[in-house]
Amino acid sequence: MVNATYKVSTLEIRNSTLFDMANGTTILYMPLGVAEISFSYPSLEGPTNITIEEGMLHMDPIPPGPPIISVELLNVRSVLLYNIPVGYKVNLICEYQTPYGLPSVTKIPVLFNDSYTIYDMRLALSDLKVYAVGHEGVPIPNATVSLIISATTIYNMTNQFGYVIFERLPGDVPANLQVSVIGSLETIYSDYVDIITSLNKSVVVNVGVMDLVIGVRNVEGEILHSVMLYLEKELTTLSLIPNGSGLMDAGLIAYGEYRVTIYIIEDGATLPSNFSDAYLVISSETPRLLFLIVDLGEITYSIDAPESGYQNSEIRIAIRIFDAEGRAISGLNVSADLISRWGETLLSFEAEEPEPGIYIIRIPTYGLRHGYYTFSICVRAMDQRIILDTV
Amino acid sequence: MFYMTNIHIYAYPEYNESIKLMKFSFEVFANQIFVGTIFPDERGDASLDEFPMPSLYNLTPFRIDASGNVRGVDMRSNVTVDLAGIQEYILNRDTQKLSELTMNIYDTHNRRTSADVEMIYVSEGNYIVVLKEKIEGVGTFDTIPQGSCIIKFRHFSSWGIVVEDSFDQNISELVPELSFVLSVSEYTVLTRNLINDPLDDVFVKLYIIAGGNVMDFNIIGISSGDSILFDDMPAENAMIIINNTRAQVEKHSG
Repeated sequence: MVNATYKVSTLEIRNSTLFDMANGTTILYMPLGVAEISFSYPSLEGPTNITIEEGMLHMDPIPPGPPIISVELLNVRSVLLYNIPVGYKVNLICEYQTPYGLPSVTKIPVLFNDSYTIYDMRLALSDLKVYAVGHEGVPIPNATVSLIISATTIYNMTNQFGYVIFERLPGDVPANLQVSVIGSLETIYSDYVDIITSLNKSVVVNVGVMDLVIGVRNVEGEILHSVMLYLEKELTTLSLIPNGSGLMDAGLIAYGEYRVTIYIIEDGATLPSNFSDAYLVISSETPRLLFLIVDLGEITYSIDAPESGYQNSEIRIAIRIFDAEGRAISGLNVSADLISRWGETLLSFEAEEPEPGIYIIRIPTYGLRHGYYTFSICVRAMDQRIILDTV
Repeated sequence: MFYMTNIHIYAYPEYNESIKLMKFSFEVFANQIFVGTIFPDERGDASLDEFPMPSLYNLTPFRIDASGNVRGVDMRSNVTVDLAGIQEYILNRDTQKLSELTMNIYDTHNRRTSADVEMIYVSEGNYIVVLKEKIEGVGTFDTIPQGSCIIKFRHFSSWGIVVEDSFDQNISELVPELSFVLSVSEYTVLTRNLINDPLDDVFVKLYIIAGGNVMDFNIIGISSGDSILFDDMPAENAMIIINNTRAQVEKHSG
């Protein structure tokens, strides 16, 4: 009887056979075979074979000891291992350097039971599909998705459908996700999302952002095509003017608080509206097409008019018009209307604007008899005749 | 005046006259007259000194009955000679049935091997050990009594196994040369993996199955060049001695 022992690491491979004395030679086959190890991982499409670009494959004994076999893996889909113990439980350990530079270690106990085994080693890798969605669940293309695993951050951009796939991530590791979008005013960041790779394979990251379109209407509900809208947040201002449809595409705007100032452009005049540093909240409740109802805003003025004048001369009235912030309002249609005792407009004198916001009305006194006259200082805008004051 | 002579008598094996056998006695009859029984000296010579010259005193022919013991075997022979002349006689024709035996011992692979040999002379139901020697491959032994004998070999292998072989033999020639193949052999264990590739550094241990028992003689080795040779091993069906007990090695053993 022949007993044989072959020691590899801490493993003692044994075999026995009867010796054929008549023949004089006996072949003793030790239970050491060949295994062809291929590599796959559970991708989003199911088990997928992969090429190991860089890594190591070890076969460790049980109980633990120095590796029985160690081979370097360089751009291989499978590897042949010779003299692997057959009938002995061992650990297969694949140290895979993922394309992101993150190491992934897969340890699988294996019992080979054939002289030539083809074994598919399922690596502890995982794909991660990240959807970036904004307002009302609308996918966000070209968003930057940051995947943070330990000290490594992986960046990727969402495709036209608003998602990105991170392939071959180390499995079962905690990670953080954040999506950022280049908005019209700022870069908009989502909250961090905690995930565990392998466990979370498809993650939707909501970004508080909306592709905002603003329309400006007057009180009659008519869309105003000649407006200027300033959307401000902190120190950044977005200036918008309507397109041919009278709508303003603000682009990607983060949820939050803004200041809105709207100017009404009429006949070259920039009129203040009731939106002057108005407080505007953009939230998930905000409709994507936001209409703002504007009216003429507060006009501040000062009138410098003489209390009396001479016949056959002229009376000069100076009016300075500015908005609530003290900015000159230029281009206005300003007039001084001579009002009868019954309130009828007898004559109207148009103002000149020698300097921005400063309007001069010259009233010739030829033909005016001595007496008292009342002039209404009027501004005509938005089909309104606004009487600023009377002199 | 009398004419006297010296007569010397000795016994020798037929194959070599120069060997004088001891432990013999010679009864001498001169012309049927019993002269006496004489014994050889330390050189093997028995002498009748100052014996009347037989040819002159009608004392011929001479008859000598020799009896003696070689290697424990009693031997007898007689010879009658006509002694003529007046010279000193040396009667050296008292031949005995002895042989000079040469034994060659080989293992089953035709290589010389060593063994202790024991030769047992068989005569009328009596067993007499005539030879007990150690042979290193070949040995030549004088004065081996002819006749039936049993030749036993005991080979002490380097593994501590005693292999015994026994042969019945009839010695009849004067200078026989016999060859024996002992039940000593060698075995090769080829160490391979399961796809038949050579495998080195395998620790191999052989056990011998004999008499129904598995015996561990600590026969070990480590394979190199995909094989290991176990030399000096008992062959198939060999008889081995364990604690003075014989056991036959079984066919499938090691």
